[in-house]
Amino acid sequence: MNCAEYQDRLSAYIDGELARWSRVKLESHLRGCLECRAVMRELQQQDEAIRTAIQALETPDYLTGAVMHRIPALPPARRARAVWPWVGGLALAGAQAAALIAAWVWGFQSAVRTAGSPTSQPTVSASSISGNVVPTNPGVMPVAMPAMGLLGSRPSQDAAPQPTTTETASAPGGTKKKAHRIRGRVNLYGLAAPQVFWSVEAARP
Amino acid sequence: MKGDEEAFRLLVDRYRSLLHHLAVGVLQDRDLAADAVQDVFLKAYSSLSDYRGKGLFQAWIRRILVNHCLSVLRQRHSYLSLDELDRDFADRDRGPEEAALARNDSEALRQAMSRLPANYRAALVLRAVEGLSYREISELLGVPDSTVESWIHRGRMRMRTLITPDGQTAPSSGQRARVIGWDRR
Repeated sequence: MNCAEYQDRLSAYIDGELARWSRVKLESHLRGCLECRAVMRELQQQDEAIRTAIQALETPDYLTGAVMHRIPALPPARRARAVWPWVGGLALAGAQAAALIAAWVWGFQSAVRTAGSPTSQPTVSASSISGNVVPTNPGVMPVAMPAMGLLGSRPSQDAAPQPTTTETASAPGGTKKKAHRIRGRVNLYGLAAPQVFWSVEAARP
Repeated sequence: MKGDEEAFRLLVDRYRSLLHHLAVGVLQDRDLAADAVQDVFLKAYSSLSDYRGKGLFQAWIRRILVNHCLSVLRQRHSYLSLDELDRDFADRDRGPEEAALARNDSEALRQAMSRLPANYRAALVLRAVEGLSYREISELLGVPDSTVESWIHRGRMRMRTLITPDGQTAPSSGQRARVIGWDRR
């Protein structure tokens, strides 16, 4: 290789971007070539001069004010889009969560109130004893069913633990523990809890 | 909304110098650079939703600025082709007085930079001033690493030749430092 070819690699060498083997060869050449070393120093000084000259420039003070002054003049659609994008999504998710919680609490309280009322004491029919729990009080199901629909059909399947209801009726001593276990399990599905709670409580002797 | 603007004001305060220096380096015109920085901040404000926190804000807005500067240069027909640059070299027959002025004036540096093709200049400034790696510059400019290497090297060598007063022989390191005002520090 001649000096011109080595000098073609000087920039990459200065910038630390030269491959190892090429770097070793170039360094070996630089040790013995005054001209190439001088060119390398010039390029380094030139970079330094560019950096110094540009960084010495003062940035106009009015820049920030000018930018902020022009923001209100942006088209409304663009300004609206500039609002941090996750704020809208977060608000929507919060509203949905609040609605679900409100529906759950309302359904639960309705079930307790209805079950505790002596005039509206639900009757456990023969079909519920045999495993098909269908409350005869119509005041409970309409409250929670729409909310259950939001989560799909899974809760309604678990909300009818037929064998448990039968056990509850036949073994009064284990009723409370059993009911607690059932509530805990079904609570995993959230909105199904009022129905099961009501069903088990209603089946108590 | 007001809170967003106040937060954005902090970003402008923080990055305006960095962007202004970069814009001056690429555009070689302080007024144009100030306008470009303003436009880029407004563009960034309008497209904050595109940013989505991926990577550094500095890298994101720097990319917008470089693309904007290159676009401005193209619109102003300042994007010198290689042929035009070669013609500049051929026409560069300054008289002795002009050459003396250039020697004693660091303005020579600015003049030499303004004669570089915009892509050479952008790559050189991103490397020399911003300290970016070839990989980062190639991603920013959308060209291969080897192209970036070539642009930077050609830019440096042409700068070297342009700053040389007589265009025939390269000055010594000390002379060169005086030409570009490097020895004043």
